[in-house]
Amino acid sequence: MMVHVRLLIAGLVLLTLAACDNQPPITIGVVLSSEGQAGAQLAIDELNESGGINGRPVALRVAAAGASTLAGPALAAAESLTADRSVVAVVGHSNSSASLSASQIYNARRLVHIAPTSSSPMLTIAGPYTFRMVGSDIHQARFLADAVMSGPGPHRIAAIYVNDDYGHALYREVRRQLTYRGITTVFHAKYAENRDISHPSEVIAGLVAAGATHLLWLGRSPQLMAITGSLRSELPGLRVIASDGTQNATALRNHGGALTGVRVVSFLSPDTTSANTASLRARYRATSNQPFTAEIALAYDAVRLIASAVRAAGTDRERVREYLAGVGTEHPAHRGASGDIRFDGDGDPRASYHLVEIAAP
Amino acid sequence: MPRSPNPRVSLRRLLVGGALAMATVAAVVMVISATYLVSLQRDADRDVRAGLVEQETADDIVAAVYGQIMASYRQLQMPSTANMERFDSLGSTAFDHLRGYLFQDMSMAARRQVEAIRELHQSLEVDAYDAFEHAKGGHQSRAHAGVVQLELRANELETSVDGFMELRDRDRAARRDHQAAIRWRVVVGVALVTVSLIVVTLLFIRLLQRHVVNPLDQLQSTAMEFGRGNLSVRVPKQRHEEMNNVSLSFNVMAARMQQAHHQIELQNVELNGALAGLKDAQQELVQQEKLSAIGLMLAGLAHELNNPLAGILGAAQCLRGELQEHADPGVRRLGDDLVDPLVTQARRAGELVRNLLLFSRKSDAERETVNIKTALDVAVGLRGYAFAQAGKDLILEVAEDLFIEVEAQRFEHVAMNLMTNALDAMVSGGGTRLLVRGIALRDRVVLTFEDDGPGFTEPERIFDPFYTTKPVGTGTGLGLTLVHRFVTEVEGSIAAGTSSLGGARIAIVLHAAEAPPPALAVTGEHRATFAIAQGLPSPGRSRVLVVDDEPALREVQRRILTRLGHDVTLACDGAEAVSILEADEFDIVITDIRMPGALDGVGVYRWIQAHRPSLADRCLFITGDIVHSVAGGSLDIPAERVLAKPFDVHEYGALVTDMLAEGLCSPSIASVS
Repeated sequence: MMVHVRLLIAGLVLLTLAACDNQPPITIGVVLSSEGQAGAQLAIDELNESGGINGRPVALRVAAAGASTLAGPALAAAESLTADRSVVAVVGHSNSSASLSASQIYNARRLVHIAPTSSSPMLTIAGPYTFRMVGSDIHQARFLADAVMSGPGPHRIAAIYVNDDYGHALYREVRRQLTYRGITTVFHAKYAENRDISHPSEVIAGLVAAGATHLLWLGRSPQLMAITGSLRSELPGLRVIASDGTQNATALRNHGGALTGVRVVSFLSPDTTSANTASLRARYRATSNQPFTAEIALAYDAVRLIASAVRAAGTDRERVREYLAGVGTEHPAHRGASGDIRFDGDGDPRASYHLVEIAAP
Repeated sequence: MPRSPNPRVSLRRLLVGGALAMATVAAVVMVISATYLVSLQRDADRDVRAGLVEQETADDIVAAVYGQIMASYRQLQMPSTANMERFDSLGSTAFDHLRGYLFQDMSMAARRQVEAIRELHQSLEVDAYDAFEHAKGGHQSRAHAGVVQLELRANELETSVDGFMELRDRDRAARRDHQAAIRWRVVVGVALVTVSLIVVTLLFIRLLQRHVVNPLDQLQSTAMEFGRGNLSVRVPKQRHEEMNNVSLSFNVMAARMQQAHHQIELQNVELNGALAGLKDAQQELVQQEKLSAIGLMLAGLAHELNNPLAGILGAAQCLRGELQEHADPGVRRLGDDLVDPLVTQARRAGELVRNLLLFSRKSDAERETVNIKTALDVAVGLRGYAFAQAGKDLILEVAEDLFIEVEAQRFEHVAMNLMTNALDAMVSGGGTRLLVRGIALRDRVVLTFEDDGPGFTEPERIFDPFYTTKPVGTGTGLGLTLVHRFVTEVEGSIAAGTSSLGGARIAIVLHAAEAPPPALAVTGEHRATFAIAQGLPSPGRSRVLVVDDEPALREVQRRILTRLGHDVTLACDGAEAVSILEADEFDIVITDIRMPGALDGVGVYRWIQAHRPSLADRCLFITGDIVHSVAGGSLDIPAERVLAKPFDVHEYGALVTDMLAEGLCSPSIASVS
């Protein structure tokens, strides 16, 4: 009799283990640029190497290209990811326009998304299911204003910004901060997202005519790289300070040295003594020869953060959100490669900015 | 049925309350639904207002964009910081408005449309700036071309905005339709719920009414009917088990109660019969007790009357004797004229007293041979005066030798009742005489009481208990009933009808009895003159002791005995008599029976029996109440030795002489008890 009971128990255990092995992977959606995807993938690989989350493997579901930066595709990607019940959370999108547009879908359908690099002030009020890894541009504007005003004068400040949710809002905030400091911009120009400045010579002529001493670049690196050569020749003493949107692998590679000397806002501390950052950098470089950017670290941290939430709260979307909302309050701060992560009541982390000068290649 | 002091909530009230509760629920549902509908309407109104606001916003966007176009034109014509600021300001307005849609609830298509408009606007602004730069660089044609492009973009943007608004309108229309559908569904649902509630309530009420309330009403009415005395009523069979069980239980209980009631009724009838019998017996007992009381009273009265009567009669007779021996014929005539009537009246009074005593004598429930004539004489003696007073005749035509075996006293009562009834009828209704006849008819004796009075109006009812034609308070209605009972008990027959004289007739037929031996009749008559008629010689001078508490009687006896030549010694009570007897010898003792003191005549006789046994046979007893003379004990003495007061002097003397002479004969012994 006892033999039969033992056999029965053993069979039940085997069945349970088999069921566990056949459990579907935990899926995390990713809507990022290539750099962000690399960081997310690194996190996924490390998680799976260490046994997954609660014994379950983790998988990424990567959205179509363009969804990370464009609003239209971002809406479609959000709709698709929210409909997939296996997706427990989303890391994305890359820029503020895409994140803002998609945030309403995520919030309406109750799926957490963590935007690693979106800094638009409007994202703070996007909803309880929206989190981000960087502070609001309200803080960056102050930082930029302080940065541009530091050093000896005169301070004839020009601004060129990408005319989207990111650049438009950042420029507005910067201008407000400069106004608080008694400074008005001597020149400003705007360009469209994903388009080059159509008439760079006119822009440079405008900068020259305005006698700008400082240029606040509130945009992307390709467009800056396209004009820095001319800028240096026309305005050799021009001090260029770029916002965080400029920092990417391309900028850090600094092919041709176009961006040499440009100071860029970085979310990562240049201090290489940060163990987590150094470790991640080392691991990343082991898998890729691309420059290690803030987006990589922030995407990596976002995935690890989601993994922590799922490990603690399970795969229920609502419980994942509740966990993330309590990071830094009810739950310990997340020690990430980008630093300690704590969310306030709006899902915003504590803002941390560093000004990094792009070195010569 | 009386209401209980704490009336319970009736089922009907519960039903009504339930219906009201249902109605309240329905009303609450309706109110809630109405509130929801109102809120839906408010949402719809809000939507409409939001639509209007959106339209305004859209108009503002378009206006801002076109404002930017205008500013662009001005900037190209007259570049200035103000124009640029105006352009930027309008651009910010449009940007803010467009981003204002971000947090609104809209369809995916609308969102995509907004993003497209926004991107369009952003491109428009960049293009404007390019145009401005062209203008600054002196490239006017490029600048104008840029502005024309701006116009196209503005138109495109306006079209996109219109398209967006259409989408929004469509969304709102869809929402309105959806809300309208919801409202309709709510209204229909509420109506259905309300109607269903009402129908269910009514059905429930009807169901309860049919299956609970009605059966309960039926049970109640049946119970009330049962309570009113209709014990045969039952609850009909019910449809449902529970109610049927209640009905069955009630019916079983009712059947048992009916049976018990029937038993009780039967017992009641028996009890009533027994009670009637008891009442009759009580009436009879009361009557007998009354009679007994009267009898006792009469006995006492008779005794008290007999003594003086004896004195009067004795003295009168002695006087008569003295006057008869007077030489003067005139004196002798005095005896005839004056003393004889005295003697007659005294005898008459004594006879009356004796009849009263006989009438009052308790029935000893033993039948005895009774002479009808003698018994009727007693009744005549008691009722004759009343007839005489009323001027009616009471005539007896009864043979002397008719005997019956009955309780003498009761027979006398029967005769008294019949005579009294006849007299009362004649007094109230007319008539002059009652004729009482008695004849022998083979082994029967037939007695008839006939009068010429008004007769019987309901002869078949006259023997019924309590039936009377007399005025209230003058009769119990039991007289003839007792007559009937007496006749029935002696196995006789009685019939009532109309007399040949025109009045009432009652005929009684009884079994005839043989005549008793001629020696003795219980009425106390004794042949005191027997010895005188036989001519026995006088015993000579004897010593006689007379014991009597009445001085007059002592004197009369002394005179009588002295005339007979005896020596008389007188004693006034038993104690004196005993003391005399102790001291002296006597030949005969004549003693009254009832005397005051510790020793009465019986006591003296006992003493004689104990101390002078030879004298016991020579004791003569005199009593005023021959019937009730001795209380307790019995004295075995011949009846001849008992003389009733008032006595005849001759009878007295003859009895004394007989006793003193040898050869005294006394065939029966009267037991005086």
